[in-house]
Amino acid sequence: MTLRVIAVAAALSVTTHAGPVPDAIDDHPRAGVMSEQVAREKLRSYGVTSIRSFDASATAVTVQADLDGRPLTLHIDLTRGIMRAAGAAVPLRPARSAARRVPRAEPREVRRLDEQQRHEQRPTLDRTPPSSTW
Amino acid sequence: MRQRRWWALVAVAAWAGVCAAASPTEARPFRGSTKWSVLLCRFSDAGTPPRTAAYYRRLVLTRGSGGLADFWDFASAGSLNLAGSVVKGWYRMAITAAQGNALDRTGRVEACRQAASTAASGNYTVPSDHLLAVVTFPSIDLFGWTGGAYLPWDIDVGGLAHEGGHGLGLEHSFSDDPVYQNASWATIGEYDDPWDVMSWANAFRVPTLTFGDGPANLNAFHRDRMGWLPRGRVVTFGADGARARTLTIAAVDTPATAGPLLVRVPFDPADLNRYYTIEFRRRAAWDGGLPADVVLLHEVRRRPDGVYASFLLRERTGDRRPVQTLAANGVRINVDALSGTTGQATVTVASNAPDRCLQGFVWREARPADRVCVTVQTRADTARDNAAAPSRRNPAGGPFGPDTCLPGFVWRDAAPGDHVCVSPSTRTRAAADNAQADARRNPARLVFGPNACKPGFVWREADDRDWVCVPPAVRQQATADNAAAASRRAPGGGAFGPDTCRPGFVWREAFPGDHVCVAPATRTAAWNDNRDADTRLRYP
Repeated sequence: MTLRVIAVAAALSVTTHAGPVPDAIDDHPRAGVMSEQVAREKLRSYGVTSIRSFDASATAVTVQADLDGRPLTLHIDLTRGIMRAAGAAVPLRPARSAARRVPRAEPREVRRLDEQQRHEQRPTLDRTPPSSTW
Repeated sequence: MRQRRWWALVAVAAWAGVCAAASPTEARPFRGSTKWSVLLCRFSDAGTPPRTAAYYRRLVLTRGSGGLADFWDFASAGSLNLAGSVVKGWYRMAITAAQGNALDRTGRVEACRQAASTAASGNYTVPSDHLLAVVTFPSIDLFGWTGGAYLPWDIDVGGLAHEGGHGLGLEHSFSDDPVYQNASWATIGEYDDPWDVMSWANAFRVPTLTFGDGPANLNAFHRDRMGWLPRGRVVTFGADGARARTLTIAAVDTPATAGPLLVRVPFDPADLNRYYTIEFRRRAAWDGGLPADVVLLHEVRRRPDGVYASFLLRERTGDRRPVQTLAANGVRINVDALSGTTGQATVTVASNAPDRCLQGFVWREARPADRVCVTVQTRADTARDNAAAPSRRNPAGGPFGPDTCLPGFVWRDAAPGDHVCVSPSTRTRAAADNAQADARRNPARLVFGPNACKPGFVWREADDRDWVCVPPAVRQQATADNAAAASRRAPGGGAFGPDTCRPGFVWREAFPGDHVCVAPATRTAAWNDNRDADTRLRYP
């Protein structure tokens, strides 16, 4: 119990004096939310085509569309902008046609990363707990 | 027992936070290496993280991978690198994800820092001169502060750049829309500049192969604020007295293209750090996710908290496009044409700033066209003298014709032909005001941007991107050292290559790659001036 009191007191000291996160002691993220305009530009830049539906809530968008000619259901987390195919653990990668716009990357590195990405992209169940705090 | 040990760890960690020197830093202007310690931490109840430490090293550190190091090299035009940064982990924290969620943000950061420093193998203590990034699995929070960031495991380059921007001291970007609110926690207009990474997540993005979304570039104000624009590529409109001009500006991603990268258009004599900006952004490279090539107009102004920020000028209707025509505050701006092929845009600008007075002065208006700047009292006196003019003329005329004054009065001579009769002291004052006219006119002359120095300091100007404020004598020394550079290099080079100095001299190192040979004391002074740079700035 004593240790717990010390811990709380110490944490308060961090907060009020010389703590390492002086600006961050609040309940809000320090980032904005993706607008529909930005979300649609993202879909375009990823090479997503044939958008059949675009259903937005306050925190997410669900899109029915095509990528590389395959129909997909996509989810965009508007608080971070990350887009996943339904059921995928890792974020979606761009269509092959969109890869040309990718900022510079050394070709050999690109090939290596491409292989790694292909491995990571295999759909798996996402066991990550809901990220409700941001 | 396990629970008790955990509270003990938190206590130790928190006290360590109290005692440790708070590390970086809102340093600007800034050139050089920003050292990050990236700590990978998983909660005690988490499985194997989906990504390895090697992945994060490529994401953050590896040049040529399309990751963060490449972005900052692009955004800073080579002024900023991440040399000396490290990625450490994965460390297992003593707390579960649920316990982490129950902590405040300081506690969340400290739990990871503590896991790193007490790990049985590979333990690591964050050096005091490092920025800190905490990456957790699973993800429980996302935030940044001046000095670090707390990130989810699947953070992308864009989110990383945004939070890293906070680590460098950059603030969010805004629009001028008085009704737009991006989120419940956002202030009006905040995050409404999608052409700037500091509006993330509401910023345009370009896909990368492996690292998720790449960020749009920093807007020109932010790059100017960090001191990453060459002095010769920034134009302050009207500073040379021009009232109207068509400018050809260059896209930021084509630095070899001729033309300014940023135009400042001042308009407020009461605030010399308030102005419009003009920049050209092409849909290419890290800006490859922009909807189109575009010229952006921003207003730079002081926020209620005293810090200056950029506000993108947006239309109020339709898809709220960036404003392309502006007529406000005595300024007119029109975007005439732009070409992604040439990397240039033409913009016509007109401003009445060259005719306006500095704060505290007003036009004298001895005649309607008299724009000599005088005190408010002098203008009032001038108006009274004009009204009294007929009563002070000799009705019968005299040796100087019909405008001959009564005894005790003389012509004012504020301008040729000004025969208003005034007291001799008033004529003397008018002559003195005329002599001061240029010094009291055109506030645009005194607009120096976000890195303006406090009185008593001037830019060092060791090169065209050196915005560090120093005493005038130091600038003179830098100029002299530059002029003497060739004579101080060892003929034929030496152990340090062709720039090897003669005995008794060392590289100045005022910025990365500064190989001008100087006396050792001068190098030490340059380092100290760099360290103190942000304390010598005029504007927050």
